[in-house]
Amino acid sequence: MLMQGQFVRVVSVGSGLYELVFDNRHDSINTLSQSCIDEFGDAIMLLRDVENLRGVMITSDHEDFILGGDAAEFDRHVRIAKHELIALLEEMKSWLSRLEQLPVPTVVAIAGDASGGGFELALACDYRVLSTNARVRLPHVRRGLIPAWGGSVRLPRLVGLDSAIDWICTGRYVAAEEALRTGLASVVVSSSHLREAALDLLGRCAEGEFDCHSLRQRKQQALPMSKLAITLAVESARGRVARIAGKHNPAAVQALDVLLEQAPLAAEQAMAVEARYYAELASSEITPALTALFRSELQTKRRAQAELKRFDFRCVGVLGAGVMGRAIAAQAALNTMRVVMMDAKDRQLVDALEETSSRLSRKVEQKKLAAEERVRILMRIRPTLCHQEFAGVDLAIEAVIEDPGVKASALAMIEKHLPENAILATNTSAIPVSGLARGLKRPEQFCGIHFFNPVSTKPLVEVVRAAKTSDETLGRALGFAIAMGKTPVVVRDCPGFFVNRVLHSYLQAFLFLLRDGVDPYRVDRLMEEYGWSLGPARTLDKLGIDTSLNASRMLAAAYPERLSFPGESALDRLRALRRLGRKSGLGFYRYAKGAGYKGLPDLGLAAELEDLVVRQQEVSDREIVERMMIPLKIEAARVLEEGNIGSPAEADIALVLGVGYPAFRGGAFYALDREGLGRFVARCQKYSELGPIYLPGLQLREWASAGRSYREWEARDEA
Amino acid sequence: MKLRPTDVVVIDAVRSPLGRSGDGCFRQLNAERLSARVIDALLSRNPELDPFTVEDLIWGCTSQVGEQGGNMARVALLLSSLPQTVPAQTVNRLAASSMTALHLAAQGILSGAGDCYIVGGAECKLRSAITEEPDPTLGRVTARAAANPAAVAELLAHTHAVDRQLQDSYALRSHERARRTLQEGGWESELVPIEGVDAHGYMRLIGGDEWLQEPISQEQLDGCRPLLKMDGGSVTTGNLSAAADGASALLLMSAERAQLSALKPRARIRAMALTACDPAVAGLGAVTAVEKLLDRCNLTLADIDLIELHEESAAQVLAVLKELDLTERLDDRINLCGGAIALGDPLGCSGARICTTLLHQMPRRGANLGLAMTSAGMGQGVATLFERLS
Repeated sequence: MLMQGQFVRVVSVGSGLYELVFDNRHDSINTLSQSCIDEFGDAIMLLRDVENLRGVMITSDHEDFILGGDAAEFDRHVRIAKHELIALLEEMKSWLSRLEQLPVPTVVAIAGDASGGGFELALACDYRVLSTNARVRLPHVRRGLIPAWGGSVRLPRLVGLDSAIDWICTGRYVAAEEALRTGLASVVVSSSHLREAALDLLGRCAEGEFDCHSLRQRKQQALPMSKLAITLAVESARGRVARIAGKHNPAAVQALDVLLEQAPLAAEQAMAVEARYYAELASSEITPALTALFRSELQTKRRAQAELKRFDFRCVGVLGAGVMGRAIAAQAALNTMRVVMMDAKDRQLVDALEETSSRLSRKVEQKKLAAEERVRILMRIRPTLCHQEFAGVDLAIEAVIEDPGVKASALAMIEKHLPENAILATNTSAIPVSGLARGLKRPEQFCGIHFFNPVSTKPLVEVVRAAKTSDETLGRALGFAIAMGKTPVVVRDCPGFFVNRVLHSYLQAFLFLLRDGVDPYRVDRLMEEYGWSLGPARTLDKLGIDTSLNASRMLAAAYPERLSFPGESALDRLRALRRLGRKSGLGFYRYAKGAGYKGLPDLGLAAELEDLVVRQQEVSDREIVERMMIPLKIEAARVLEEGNIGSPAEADIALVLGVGYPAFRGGAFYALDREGLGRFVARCQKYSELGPIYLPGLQLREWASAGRSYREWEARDEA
Repeated sequence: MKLRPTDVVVIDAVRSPLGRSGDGCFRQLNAERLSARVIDALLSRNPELDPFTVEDLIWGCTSQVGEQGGNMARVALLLSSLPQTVPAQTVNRLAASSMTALHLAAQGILSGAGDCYIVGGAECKLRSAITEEPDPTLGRVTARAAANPAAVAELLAHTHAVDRQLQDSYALRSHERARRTLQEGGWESELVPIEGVDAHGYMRLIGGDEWLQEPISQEQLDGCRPLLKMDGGSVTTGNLSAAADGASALLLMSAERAQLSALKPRARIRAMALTACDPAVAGLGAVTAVEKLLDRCNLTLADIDLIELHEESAAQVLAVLKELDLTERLDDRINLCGGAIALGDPLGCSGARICTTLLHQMPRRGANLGLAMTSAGMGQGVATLFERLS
């Protein structure tokens, strides 16, 4: 043993070969915190001094390789002055250069995720050996940043400019297969062979069988392509990148400029360009919001990740093969779980399998899925007509129609057939979960797991804790959500849970604006400019006018003082006119063929809604945005005050991932803190006559007058 | 001028009309059958030719996947009335494929390996679209967008200061000249009518190029949106050549063999050249090819009477003309019948198509020396100089 630290250890693996292991003793994941970086530096210095050193292998003892820089570090980056930041970055960068310039070959073995700084570290090695489950990414642009530790310099020199543009500007995950195809990975092997394959390669390099010298040189030089080719690669991507990034996050487009500027330079000058842009972006307005959000997401996921180990999901039961049931079944199968899918109707099961099959085929056509993998996924779903099949499942989730009676009897029926230790869940968006638990024999093994439609793309899941749900059950449900590839937040059982409740206070504000004679298309335009991907009218069309109306009636009954609408609303009117939104081709917008998912304004709409206008008011653009955003923030604070959601951090994640709150604004609680609670409450006063949705809850008012902020919540949490 | 026995001469050149790719008049046909039809036409126009004496069929085709995948030249030959004993090979140099086929045959004749070849090429572009992407590590040495004509055109528009207005007016010129040639009957001598279908699927004898049926107006060009959303994007579907289906064939012989067969040559090949350049400016490949060719035969551009330049996009054509200092001479000798922007671009057929058009236009316009040149994707250029004999 050459070194044993809290985060890094270095051991000899025989004949001059050494292994540098990232093994965070304090947490289940490796991150590059300042202490970890310090130890990494020590390790590199030690290795440099080893006599007869012949090779270095870098590995991780955790499930994932390294999940990037520490969230707290990013918080620091956005606060300090530019020149300080550049100096700070220099430290890790110099360790990576020293690693790269060791006189012996270096091989890194990656299993699981290598994200951000973790991936940048891997780029400094000579060879990358990946396990089949490995994924790499540079997610910096999602936080309004670009890579800071030489990632934007080394990556294009290794995989070429086109791939580097794609990976850096989208921040997406790159799977092992693509890493191999692009030359990023030297080898991809199954995880059981990973360490051995890496060690074997290192030994052969040490023997001189493979030449790592030319690989290193490539990283030190300018890209071997003409200036014209560089221009072509960057400029032909610019339109696409700008479209994906949207107009509020400049990082992706700046990343293109970084690449354009540094590609013709040798590594050293190129690194300086990267640092200059990074420091510039770190001081921009949106970066603190995005980094705060990233930190919240990491916290939320980490809490749930710890639970994942407690439950090994082999088989999941899904009751109901309707829209939600079939999608949940497909998502589980996609994530390697076996699924028993039950429905009373044979036809429904056949439809479900056909739909899943054709969706997978489309993925195969788009080359997002291997053809043989498609069959494997389909084979995991076993359709059945009888309850007895649930005898072998670890978790059963019910997704029948939204009717308390039907759900209750379905749940009671499944419970009879479940193994003793299995957990039972309901996928409801509205019905109180505690009520459904009443007829069950083991209510402590029951909870709600609320997936959003469409299941495959919506990243959020609300895990609903009913009155009697045990901690054990909740933990396993969280683990299940993580295993499904989702980000779960825990909510307590209240009508609408978190997402629908907050969303409907926002939509309620929209209906009030229409009552005051404001043009719905104008509201949509303003809210989309504000950063929502869809304005409120488009959101209602997408959800379906009838579905939204049902949900709003349910919420009105639960919170009559705030969420009931006096008289006929625009929703009631559209419903009566059978303008049901996107699914019927006409709602607020007209969805003709070729009109796109945003639809076209309908000239007849104004006349249909004319007589609903109670008072024609002049409302400024600014007022419209305020009148839309205030009720959402107030309702979110009320849910938190009632203890129905765990923390401001989880609430902000749920807002961004579930409601569609603009990410670069950081979430409601982030925005409240930024503005100051006192100023926010004062601003609400202006609208108080509009109704109780503009009245902040008690806690918010008290905290405002006491000069407190929601950041304290986190501090309290950690204490 | 006296012909030497080993001179390479062109006896005849024909082509099919060009159809819109995908939903056009040849949608029920494929590249092999189109090829067989033009080969048969070439044979029946030249009954003096003994088909058993053809040394090789050399055929250009760029999308060598699907039904165009397995040496489609041999399939086309077997479907045609050429005897089974004639060999066939498929060649690919993207847009320059069939001009390369012509060069290979010429080299065969010059070396004495053979004295009679049929060359040409065909493409049904969207039927077997290129689905395979090149190796992703290509990005280490060049931009993958070098394979995308719109992106290359946009770069050339920028480097050679060719704005949208210039590109659109060149595109309009291409359409107007092609339509005028149609009205004057100038296409007739090179065209082989082929059975196709109309919009409803009714069988029709297709005697003319499909894209020329309707005139294109300035307003239509103005209405086209830039294909790549770059700042100030200028390349549109209006000023870029469209995908087309088509086939073209030429009969090549040594002068001695032509005389023995009592076949009257149209022209002899004076010179050939092949070059490559930076893939990022692939469209400029023709420039170096022409310079090399002129160097080889001690001529200058002033000596050339008629030029056919393959039109990939208006920006590319105008950039090539700027490089060769030919912009001023556009209207007296370059692409006088329009080009691929108007007719469409059937990749594997295009090199042979411009040679065919050139060979039929030279006597019509009294030209002695005619130059055909084309750039090819990923940075190559090919040029051929013909001298009229009849």
